[in-house]
Amino acid sequence: MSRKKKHKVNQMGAPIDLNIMPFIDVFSLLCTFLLFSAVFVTIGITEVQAPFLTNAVQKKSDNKKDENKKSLPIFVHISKNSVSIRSASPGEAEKTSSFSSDKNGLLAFHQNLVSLKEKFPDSDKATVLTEEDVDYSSMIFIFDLIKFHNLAASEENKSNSLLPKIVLGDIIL
Amino acid sequence: MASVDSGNETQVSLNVMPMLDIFSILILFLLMSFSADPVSHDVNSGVELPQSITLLSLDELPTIVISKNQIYVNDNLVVTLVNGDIASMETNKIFHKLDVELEKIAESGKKFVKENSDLSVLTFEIDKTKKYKIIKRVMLSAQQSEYSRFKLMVEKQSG
Repeated sequence: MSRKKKHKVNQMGAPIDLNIMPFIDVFSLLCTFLLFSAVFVTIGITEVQAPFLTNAVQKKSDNKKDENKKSLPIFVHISKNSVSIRSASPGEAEKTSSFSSDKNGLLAFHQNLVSLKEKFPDSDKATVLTEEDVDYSSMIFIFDLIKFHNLAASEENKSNSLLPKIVLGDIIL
Repeated sequence: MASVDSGNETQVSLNVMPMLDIFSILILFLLMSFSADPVSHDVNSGVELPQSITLLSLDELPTIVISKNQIYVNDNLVVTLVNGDIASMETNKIFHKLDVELEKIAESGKKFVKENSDLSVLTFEIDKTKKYKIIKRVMLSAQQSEYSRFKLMVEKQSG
C-alpha cells in the first residue's frame, strides 16, 4: 500500500512540486455546480385518455372484422377497498371478477388481466371507472398493473405491455 | 502544498491525492446521473409524485398542477382548496375560473401551433394524496376545452 514519493529535481537540485491547487479549485466548482443542477428524481409520464364518442354509424363490414379480431372490451372498476374486472367474451354472458385492494388481491387482479390478454391477444385497451374517494397514488399503481405485463421488467421491452391504452370511462361531459 | 515546521525544520506535506480521488468519483457519479431527459422540470413544492414503473419520459412541461392545496394553470393560481378539498357549495363558481383559463390555453394553442400538431394533449402534475374527485373535475374542464389525452406525471421507480 505504501508508495514512494518521487520528486522531480530541477537544475539546482531542489525538488519541484506540481501546483495542483488550481486543479482542486476547478474540481470544487464543478462539484458544486453539478450538485446544484443534478436531478435525483426522474420524472416519467403515464398516458391516459378520455372516452371518444362518435355518432357515426359503424359499417357492417367493420363489425365482421371486429368479430374475427381476438379483442375483448375490458372494464376495470376501482374503488377504495376493491378492484373489479368486467368483461364479456363474444357469445358469452358478461363476467365480473372482484379483488380486494391488498397485495394478494391486486396480484390476482393482475393475473386475471394477463389470462384475459392471453385469450384475447388483440385487446389493448381497458376502460377504467374510478370512484371519487380513490387517491391518485392508488390509481397510478393500478394503471401500472393494467399497462404492464411484467411488473419488475422495464418498458424498453415492447412485449412487456399488457393493455397499454387506458380510457378514463367517467370523464364524460 | 508543502509546509515547514519552523521548530524542527522538518518538511510536512499534505497528501491531497485521496481528496482528488473522492472528487473525481463524485464528479463522475454526478455526470452519469445528470438528467438526459429532453425536459428538465422542478416539481412544485406542494406536490409529491406517485411512483410508477413507466419508462416514458416527460416531454413537455405540465400545464395543470394540482398540489396539496392549490390548482395552478400555467403557473397561475386558479383554485385554492380548503383542507385539500373543494367546498361543495361553491364548486361551480370555483371551477368556472379553471374552465375559462383552459379555454384560453386551448384558443392560444390553436393560434400558434402548426395545423398538424396534436393539440389535444395536456400534462398534469398531481400530488399523490389527491382524491379522484378533484382530478375528475379538472379533467372534465379540460375535456370541455377539447383536450382528450392526458399525460400524468409520475416518479419513475428506480431499479
